[in-house]
This record gives sequence, C-alpha cells and structure tokens, in this order.
Amino acid sequence: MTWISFPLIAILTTVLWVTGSLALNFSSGKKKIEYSGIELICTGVAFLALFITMLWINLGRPPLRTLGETRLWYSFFLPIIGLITYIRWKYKWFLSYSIALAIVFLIINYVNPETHDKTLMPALQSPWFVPHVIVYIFAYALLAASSLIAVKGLYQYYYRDFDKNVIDLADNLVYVGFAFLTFGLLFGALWAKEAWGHYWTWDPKETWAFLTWMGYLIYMHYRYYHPSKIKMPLWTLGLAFIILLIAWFGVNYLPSAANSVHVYNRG
Amino acid sequence: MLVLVQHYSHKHLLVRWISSIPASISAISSFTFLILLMGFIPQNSSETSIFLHKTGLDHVNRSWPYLLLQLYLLTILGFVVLKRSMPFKLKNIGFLLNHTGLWIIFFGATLGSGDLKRLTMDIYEKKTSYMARDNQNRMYELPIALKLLKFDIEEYNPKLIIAEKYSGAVISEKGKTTTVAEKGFEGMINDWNIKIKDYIQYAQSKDTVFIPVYDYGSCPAALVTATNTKTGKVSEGWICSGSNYINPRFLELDGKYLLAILKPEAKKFSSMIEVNTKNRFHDTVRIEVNKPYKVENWKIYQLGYDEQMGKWSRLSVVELVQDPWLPITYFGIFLTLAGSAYLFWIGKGKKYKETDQSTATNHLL
Repeated sequence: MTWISFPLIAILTTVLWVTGSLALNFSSGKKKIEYSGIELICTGVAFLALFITMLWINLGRPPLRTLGETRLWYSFFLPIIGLITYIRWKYKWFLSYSIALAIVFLIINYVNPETHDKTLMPALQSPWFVPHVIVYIFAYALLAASSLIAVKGLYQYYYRDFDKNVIDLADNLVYVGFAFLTFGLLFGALWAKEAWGHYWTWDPKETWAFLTWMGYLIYMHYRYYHPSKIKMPLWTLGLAFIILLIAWFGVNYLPSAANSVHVYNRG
Repeated sequence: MLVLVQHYSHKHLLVRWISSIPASISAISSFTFLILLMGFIPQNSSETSIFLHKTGLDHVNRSWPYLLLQLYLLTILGFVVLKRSMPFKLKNIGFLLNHTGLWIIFFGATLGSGDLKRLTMDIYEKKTSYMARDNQNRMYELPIALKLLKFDIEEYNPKLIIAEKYSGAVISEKGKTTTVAEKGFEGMINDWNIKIKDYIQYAQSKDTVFIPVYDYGSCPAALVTATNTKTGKVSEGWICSGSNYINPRFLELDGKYLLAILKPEAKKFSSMIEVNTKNRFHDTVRIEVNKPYKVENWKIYQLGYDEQMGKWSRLSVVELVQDPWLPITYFGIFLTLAGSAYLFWIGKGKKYKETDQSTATNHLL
C-alpha cells in the first residue's frame, strides 16, 4: 500500500469517525448507540494503523521523515488520546474535538500529497529514530489537545462563565504531554551523542525544542503557584503551542535555521 | 557550598526567596527570553552584521548575561532541591527525580563544556595521521594514530528526471523526483512512458555503450526507451549520472526536454580504519554515521569525505571527542527520564481525586 491508496483510506476513516462522533453525541443516553459510536471510531483508527503499517513495509523505512508522514501519525494519535480521555474522564466533546483536528490533518495530506521518496539519509539510520520521533509526535498531539482546551477556556472566560474543570483537564494533558516531551528531548540528546559527537549543539531545531519545553515548564510552575488564576496560564498555553509549531515545522523557514542539521525535506 | 548555605541559613530572606516559585518562574522566563533570541538570530554565523556581533546577539550562549543567568538558575534549582529533600518524603520522589536530574544535567553540561574536546582529523588512504584540529584550526598532537584503509559509500539507486534542455529546470512530477532507476522499470513521467532496458550501478563508457566497471570514477548508467504518449515519438539511448571522471549523458526527448539520471544519494558511508595508540593498543575497525568507535577515553565519529570524489574518495574526515563529564550528564539524564515516567504515571498528583473527576464529568456533559 502506498500513498496512491491514501485518498480511499482517508475518506473511509473520515466517514467512520464522523458517524462515530455523531452517534456518540446524539445517543441521548442510550448505551448501545454510544458503544457502536466508539466502535466506529476505533475501526477508523484501525484503518489508519493498517495504512501506516503497509506504508512502512512498502517504503522499507519508518514513515517518519517528511512532514506529510508525521501528519499521518498525528491523525493517528489524536483520536487515540481522545478515546483514552473519554474512557478515563468521559469527555465526549473532547473526543469530538480531537477527531475534528485529526480529520484536518488527513485533509491537509489529501490536498498536499507527499511523494513516496524511499531514501533515508545516513544520519537518520539509527535505532533511536523511531522512539525519538514517535514520542515527540505523541507529545505534540497531547499538547495540541491541551491548546484546544485553552481556546475553549479563553472563550468561556471572555464570553461565558468559566468552568474550572476545563483548566484541570488542560493540566492533566500538559503533565502527560510534558513527560513525553522530556522523553523526546532526552532521547534526542542521547542519539545526538552517537550521531554527531555531542548531546547538545544548539542546532536551531534543538533551540526551538528546548524553548517549547521551557514554555510548558513556565505554564506548570505558574499553575502550581497561582492555582486560582485562569487568564494568564491559558494565554501561556496558547503561546507555548505557537513555539511548539515553530519547533515542529516553522523552524525550516527561519533565517537562523540556514545550517540546521535537522532540515530533512529540502530539495 | 549550596548545602552549607541551605543548612545554616535556610530561614534567611534571600535563601527563602531563591528557593521560592516566583524566583524559579522569573529565572526560567528570563532564560527563555535569551534562548528566544538564539532562536531568531542566526548564531555563530560567518555572515553576521557588526551590530549583532558587537552586542553579542550572534553568540548568545557565550555572552555574560547567559553565563550569569545559567549560574543563577543552577543556584535556584540547587536550593529548591535541597529545600524539598529535607526532610526526605517518599511522595516527593517525582519532584526530586526531575529537579535533581535537571540540576545534574545543567551542572555537567556547563562545567563539562570547558573540558569538552572536539577535534577533526583528515585521514588519507594508506597514510597514518595523528594531528587533529579544533574549530579554530589550532593543531593538536594526539596519543592516537589513525590510518584509512578504505572509505566506502553504499548508495541508493539514482532517480530519473525530465528537465528543460536550456534552463535545466526539472519539470517531472512538479519538481519532485521519485522515479527510481531499476532494471525492468516501466512507468510514466509526465507525458513519457519510460522503460529501463538495462541498468548498471557502477559503469564506465566503452565506445557508445556502458559496461560494468567497479573502479574509480564509475557511475550509474541506464539504457532507456522513452515514448511520448501524445506524439508517439520514441527516443532510446544510454544515460549516466556522471562523476568527476565521466561527463553526464542525457537522452534528448524532443527539441525542448531531456531525460537525465541524477547522482545517487548516500545510504551509508563508512571508513575502515586502523587504530594505534601510544599505549600500544592496536585495532582495525569500521566506523560509520551513528556508529562511533571508542578507544581509551576518545570516541571517533565518521564526519565527512571528499565530496567531489564521492564513493571513490581517498579521504575520510573523522571527529574525535573527549568529554570527561559525560557520565555525570548521563546520570542526570537517567534521573530526569525516571522523573518523567513518574510524571506520566501520576500526573499532577493527588489534587485531582476521583470525586473531583466525576463532578468534572457532570459539569462538562
């Protein structure tokens, strides 16, 4: 299976996810409809998992190199995070949000098809490659979810009554996301030592990854110190996500990244 | 020293401030600001403006504000760890793992940077070398001598492209090239049906054809047939990517376009080297990217080669690194990883009990 079959899989998955979310949100308390909704969403995730696996086999390397490939993983992990939060805390709206976001990423890949380039440069051929990138994508997906919640919180803060539970959910996601972010950063450092001779060289990608990490660090400390304040931490969460986006792909376009060793999709 | 200060004057106003959260937040934020500067302004670039150079903005991590702030952060973090660890409580274990781990990483990285040696050595085929240079081109004599036995690059099959004859602009697949040369390949590139009748990974030309020769200057060559599906025009011939010995050869499709084969991309590059040290240690090893070799307290990395010669390079550039503080930094990394696992498992802690969660659920539904 290659990118050629992607439109089919993407449409199939989207249909499953949308129907599943609708069933879940309009079940009017009927457990049976709720369960079939969950089942549909899970089937969608399974289809995407199948596509990623086949693509991996077909390319002969992990599909983690290009932005299009990482977007694929993003669409895969977001519903999973939605499902976990649903099972653990029963947030229906959050599951629907994460599915909507995942569909956005599927659409971007559909409109912007990536070529199936098989080459993988020597620096990326390492046992660290898969854990480093997957842990990062998972962290990014969690933190993206926390930003969605921050947006909801800010909307409530300015236009409605603020519900404290919103920021509590954001906290939960940031803590787990931050744990993964730290894993990604440190795995990267350990890998860098093997590949480039030193664990930290202030390469632009490293600089921005570190900034992302610091952003969420500020959020966590601020929340700890002022548990009752709302506006400031929610804006911090939004800003931290902008830094995250720069670290993820914006860095490729910055003048400071002209000599970055992390820019793999040029040319 | 931090321990002593904390022990004798933990009630002092300054010590209390320094171990407080506002101190941490302000220090982290100031540090973030400095790093943001590094994120936006190209660092250590040779093409920098005088303004950036004079203000130190093009080398932030070697500036005084950076060093002082790092020291300040280290102090704060140290006090915070000491404050939380006395008396020691098991429920603080996650906090302590994370903060102690970070402190050790910072400590090892900051102090270690003074003792870190990163040297580059050029080694030529069949020649022994023991001189290496640092990033300011100062030369050092090392207790290790290296000899290059053979440098090699494993290559991917090259890609095929269609380009405009005069401008050289790639027109196939919107400038992206994915068609890989293989014997028996048949497929479409834009309006042309391409068939590869023969393909040789390492070839040299003999008269008008190419024959397999595995020697200096060999390059990939293919015998291709291109049929324009609109006009029916058929072109056939040998093409090759070219090397520093052989000129590249193209296939003319019509008056405007050419079919070409690109130079292959590297899959793996490695050097077979002979290592001898002053302590009469002797070994023959292969080093490659991601697979360095450790000898005594040095690590040897594959860094580069003569790119003009590519696969047939007689030069290999290696990097020799010595970092005596590495075990300390690694210990810090290990503690922080454990702390993160704890963070993942426990989350924010006991503040959010099940009862809170269920009321939260009711609110949100």
